[in-house]
Amino acid sequence: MNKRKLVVKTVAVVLALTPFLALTSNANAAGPVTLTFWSRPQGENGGIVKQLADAYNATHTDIQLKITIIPANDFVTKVATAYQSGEGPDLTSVDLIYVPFLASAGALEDLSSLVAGLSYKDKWDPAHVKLSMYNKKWYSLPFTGDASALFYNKDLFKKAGLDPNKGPASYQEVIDAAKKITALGGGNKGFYFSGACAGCQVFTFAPAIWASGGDMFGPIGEPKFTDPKVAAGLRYYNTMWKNGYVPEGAKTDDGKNFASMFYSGKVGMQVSGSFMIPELTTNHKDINFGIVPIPGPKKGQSSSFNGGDNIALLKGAAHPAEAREFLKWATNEGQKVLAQQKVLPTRMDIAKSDYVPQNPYYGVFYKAAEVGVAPWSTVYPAMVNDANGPWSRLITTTIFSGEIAKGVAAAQKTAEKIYKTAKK
Amino acid sequence: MSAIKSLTARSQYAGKKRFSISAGFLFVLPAIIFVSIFFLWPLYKLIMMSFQDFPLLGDPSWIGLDNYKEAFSDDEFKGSFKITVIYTLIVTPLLFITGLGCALLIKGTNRISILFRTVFFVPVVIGFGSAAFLWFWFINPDTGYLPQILRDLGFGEMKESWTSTMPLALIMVVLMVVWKFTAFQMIGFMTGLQAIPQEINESAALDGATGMKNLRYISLPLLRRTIGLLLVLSVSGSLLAFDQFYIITAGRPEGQTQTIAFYLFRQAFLAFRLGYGAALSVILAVLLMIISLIQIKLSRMDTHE
Repeated sequence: MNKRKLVVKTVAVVLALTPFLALTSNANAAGPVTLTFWSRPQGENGGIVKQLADAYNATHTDIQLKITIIPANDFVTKVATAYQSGEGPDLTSVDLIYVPFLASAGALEDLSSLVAGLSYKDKWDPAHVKLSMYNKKWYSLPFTGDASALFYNKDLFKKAGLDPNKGPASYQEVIDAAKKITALGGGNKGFYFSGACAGCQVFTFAPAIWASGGDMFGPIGEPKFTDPKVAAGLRYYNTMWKNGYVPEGAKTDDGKNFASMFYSGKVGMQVSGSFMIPELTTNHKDINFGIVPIPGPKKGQSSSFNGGDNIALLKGAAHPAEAREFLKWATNEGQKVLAQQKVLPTRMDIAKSDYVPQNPYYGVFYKAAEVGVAPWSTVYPAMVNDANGPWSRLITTTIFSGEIAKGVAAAQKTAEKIYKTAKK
Repeated sequence: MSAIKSLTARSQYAGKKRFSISAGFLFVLPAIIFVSIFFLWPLYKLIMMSFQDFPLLGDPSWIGLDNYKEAFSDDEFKGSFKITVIYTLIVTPLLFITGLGCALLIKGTNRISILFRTVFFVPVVIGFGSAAFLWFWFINPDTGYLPQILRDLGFGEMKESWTSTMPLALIMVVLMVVWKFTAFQMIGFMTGLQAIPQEINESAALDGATGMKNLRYISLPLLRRTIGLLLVLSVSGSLLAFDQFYIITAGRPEGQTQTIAFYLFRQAFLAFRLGYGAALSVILAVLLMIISLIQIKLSRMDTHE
């Protein structure tokens, strides 16, 4: 009887402990923490973030990354909608120009304490740092760089009697070179830009204004289209357009022909990014090209749009501590992986040591990133990217018509309306 | 006795009626659920949103009729309203004429008619976005076929883009839509024409109503319902025009080809003002409803069915 009681008691204790045993075994089976990470396509073939994740996952056992790539056009809307419904990822790599909007809407975690402990916090390029900040706090960390520079066709320069080893270094030198190349005839034109692509124009044309010390926006995104240096930049492009140095299709090109005109070998100069180099060196070997910084009005002045992505931690993330660990890796060892994959790192020290030596042209993009700018605005899509927004209208109503004062006034009025509505 | 009989009969009838009502309700229940979830509930949410300041991120706040007040004093919205109406007034009769014309030409059942019918119908099955991209490329001054053909025929250099000035930009979109939708209207008209009994046409012919007279006094009156349906589809489709303008003109020049749907897309997804975008959608939906009701009413007048 006692024996039976003992057996019953033992069974009861074992049964009672079973859930705890199960829990322990579950904890062992749970394995590493999986961080969710959303990104738009970046780098060659859009796969750079996946390559970065592979490198991270191969060297870490406690934290693993799960990448989701979302088309660039829908990216912010998707992230915002997912965040609102509590379905957002832990981390997101986001086009740096959207960071002020996401930070101002309260969707991002303050990373200031993390940055304070980083030994390399003064090594990032200025544009990515500026767009990481909101109310003097860090809401994202610099991640990938993408600077713009002036590409020129050396063969056309030579034919036009210009020095092929010396690209233009001022507004006037660009105009003079464009004139001589157009004079060659045979369908050759001096200069190209996608006039109806607002996003392209801020990447390619705005640096000419920034190089002069002018700007279309103030420090908190207030519109300053009436800055006389903006008008000077518009006049520079208008001179090339009205004299026929630019192909007609530029007026309505919304980006679909952005690179194809330069690839045709009939365009002397075009502002673009380092993404054009692999295509030129593999599929257009006949084009002998050079790359120089985007010139300002005077010699010695230059600037660039330093785009790319910042990386942010979303509020309400499931694994904030692990995400912060990954952020440290992404801004340190991860930057070397980016450089190996031919993506400009935002850590200037790593860009210099690991990126620049790979290609003779990369030095130009490195220097461009050092002085590069990106506009800070919480209403960037409406202000700049919109094909009918003030920035786009500014281009179409001034460069192509020559009515600069009128176009500037109209764009300023529309921009102020957007700015005031957003502030309200 | 008779009273009892009549009562029994009534209750039997009532029972049948109850059965048929509940059975009928059960039959339409899936449709009711579907419409409620995918149409009525979103519509209710949209109307609620239109009374709020509804950002993409952050908490919405109730602002009453402010979005509607802003819409009625918004010059850009008025401009988009004007161009949408102009576009609808051009496209609707054009599609009517080309659709009916094609239907009359190839309503026969011989092989050539069938071949042309198929050829004409090809653009209808191409997606709207793809068709618009095709035209965007087709009319490009640097790479397109059409400017090149005109250049070869000696019509000048054709350097200027056809989508950078008005009214040329609008004409390009109208041409593309006519190319794409004529065959859809054609099929509609053909179905209507084939439904007219042969005897009517024969007796009309005996009375001397042939050719244009037959069309004016026989075919068109009997096509009233078909015309009504095609008009509703054409007008509502035109008032909602978006893809073709977004791709071919992108609102150029200077926003002059920006339709209502295009403008509300910009407000909702570029300015991230979802509340204002919702208010513009409600205005557009009400407008569509009124116009469609008028058209349906008109197409049913003087019919004795």
